[in-house]
Amino acid sequence: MKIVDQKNFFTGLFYLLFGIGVAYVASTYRLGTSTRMGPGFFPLVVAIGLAITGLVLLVASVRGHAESTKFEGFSFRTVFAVLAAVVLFGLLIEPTGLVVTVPVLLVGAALAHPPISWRNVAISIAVLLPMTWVIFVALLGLQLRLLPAFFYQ
Amino acid sequence: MDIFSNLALGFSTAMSAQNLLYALIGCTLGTLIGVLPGLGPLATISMLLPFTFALDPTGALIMLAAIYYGAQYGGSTTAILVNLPGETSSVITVIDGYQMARQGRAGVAIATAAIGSFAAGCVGTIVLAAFAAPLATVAFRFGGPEYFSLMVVGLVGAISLSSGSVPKAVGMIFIGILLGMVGTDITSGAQRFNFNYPELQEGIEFIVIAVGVFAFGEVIASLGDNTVRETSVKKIGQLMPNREDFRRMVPPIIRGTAIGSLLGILPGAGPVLGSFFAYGLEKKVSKYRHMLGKGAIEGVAGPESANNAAAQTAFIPTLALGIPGSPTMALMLAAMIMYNIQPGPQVMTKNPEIFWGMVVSMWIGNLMLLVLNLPLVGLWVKLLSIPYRALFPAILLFCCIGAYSARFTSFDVFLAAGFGFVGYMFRKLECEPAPLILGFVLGPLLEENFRRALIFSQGDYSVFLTQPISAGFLTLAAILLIAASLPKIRKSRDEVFAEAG
Repeated sequence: MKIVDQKNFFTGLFYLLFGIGVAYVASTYRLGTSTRMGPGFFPLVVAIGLAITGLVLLVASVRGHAESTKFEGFSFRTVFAVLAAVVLFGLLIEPTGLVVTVPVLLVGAALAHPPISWRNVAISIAVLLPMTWVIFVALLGLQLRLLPAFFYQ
Repeated sequence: MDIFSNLALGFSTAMSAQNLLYALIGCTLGTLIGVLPGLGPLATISMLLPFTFALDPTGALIMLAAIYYGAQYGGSTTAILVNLPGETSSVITVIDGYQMARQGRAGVAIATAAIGSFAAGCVGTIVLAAFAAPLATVAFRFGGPEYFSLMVVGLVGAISLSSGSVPKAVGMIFIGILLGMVGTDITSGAQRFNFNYPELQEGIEFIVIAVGVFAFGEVIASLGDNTVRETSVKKIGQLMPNREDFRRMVPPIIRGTAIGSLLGILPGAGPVLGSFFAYGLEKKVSKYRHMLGKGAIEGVAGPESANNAAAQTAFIPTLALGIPGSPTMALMLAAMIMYNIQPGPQVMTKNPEIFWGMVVSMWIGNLMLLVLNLPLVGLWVKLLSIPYRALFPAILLFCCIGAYSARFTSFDVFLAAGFGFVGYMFRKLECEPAPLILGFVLGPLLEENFRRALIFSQGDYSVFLTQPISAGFLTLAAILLIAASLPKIRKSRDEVFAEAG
């Protein structure tokens, strides 16, 4: 068996596994009868539908006359840098406030896309930090802290 | 209340200085972000949502609608100038719009798009005002089977019109529905799929999915694959269409508006279908059909009026029935729910000032686009020359703030990062993620009405086919699905996509 259509193959695999996983969890909830459905009934039906869709894609992707595609060009660096920057934003926003999180996010964003110009990073911090505070805190009144938490005690 | 007193109420709400200001800000922001290549309307709206968080519900919805129109307008500007359609509904505009730009008539093309959109928007607003109330009256008599089947029509419509493979789109909708099941089950009160995270007890916040899958996913994909190449932006040239242009754009605008208004009411990607049909019609009946594809003004005026008229009338099912017809409408609907406004037949009687205020503000938004943004088109074009690498950090920052401040919990930021990864994978696998948000918003409604239908029929599944209205909807869904899989239609559809690409 040869995987001709890699993109459809991995999509199908994901649909199938996700469908089976959800179907398993749903089956632990009360299913009920068709007149009085329990919380598990509808998710179970949809999850089975998803798994079948995945199976269809899988079978089609290994047939000889399927269109040949390759799954390639996964840019680990970009994915990791962008998502790490976002997670750090989440971790730091409450304890340290915007004054730390904005620069951290912008440095992370810069790392995602080499070559890195630290001058440009400095400029973007100098522009975006005041802008964020003015727009979201001063004008819109969102409950975001500018400074680390201990300044407010 | 008749249509005129309704519109008068709308005007009195929308014309307050405060709400006019919100509409202006929304239009400007929407255009500003929508013009950027590589950011579709879904990403634009998700990214700009936090700007509306602090406003009262009416103001927030007016601003949101303005953002939506601004984003669409910005998207067609980019489509014409750099040959890059931001969303499926502007795919058609690109064909003749870009040819016009190559002939140095980009300004005229952009102006035609704006004029056509405004004319269509005016008609669309009237259609919306005239049909929403009667439709809501009909909808009051809809039971579980009717609602369920109507939503199936919407979902099938979204599938058959997405640009990729049908099974992939079906899977996206299923995943969206399942994500919508997280949290408390409305009927039994039981907790589902929360994996013991208290943050998930009330379900996943929609902005988290939108920001993650659309904004983060698009940013990572653009950066990682260098898809945002340095594009050569065409010169705008003269903006004002001449007498001949005006004379030629009128008939396609009228035809496009008629088609668009009609198709927009149908749940399921009305704007896309509208612009396709309008282009097809021009190809058949226009006096200048031999010039279509070579930079004919008809090829911009027709489809742009159609997609704008449809975008306007697409609010009819969204507002009157609470059933969004397209992924963008799903996003708007989810935002309304966030402001504690449950769209549906009740919204017109319970919050008439919000409903009619929004309808009128959409028209005002279109007017603002015409009189304010058109002269500013030179400014927007300058934005196109800002390199993406200078812009995406700001996009990322606004998205993080949006994900965090919907509920002020870091958990949502982490979840958005996870969805960002998923969104990027979808793009790598050539899965169009837009149907997912439609499934997510419709999921709980589908389940509720499915259950209600079967309680009503005492467990008999044939109820969906024995109730005449429900059977009619399901027939329509079947026709749509068959039409989408017919080789001939698929082929001509792919040809249009290929012609545009």
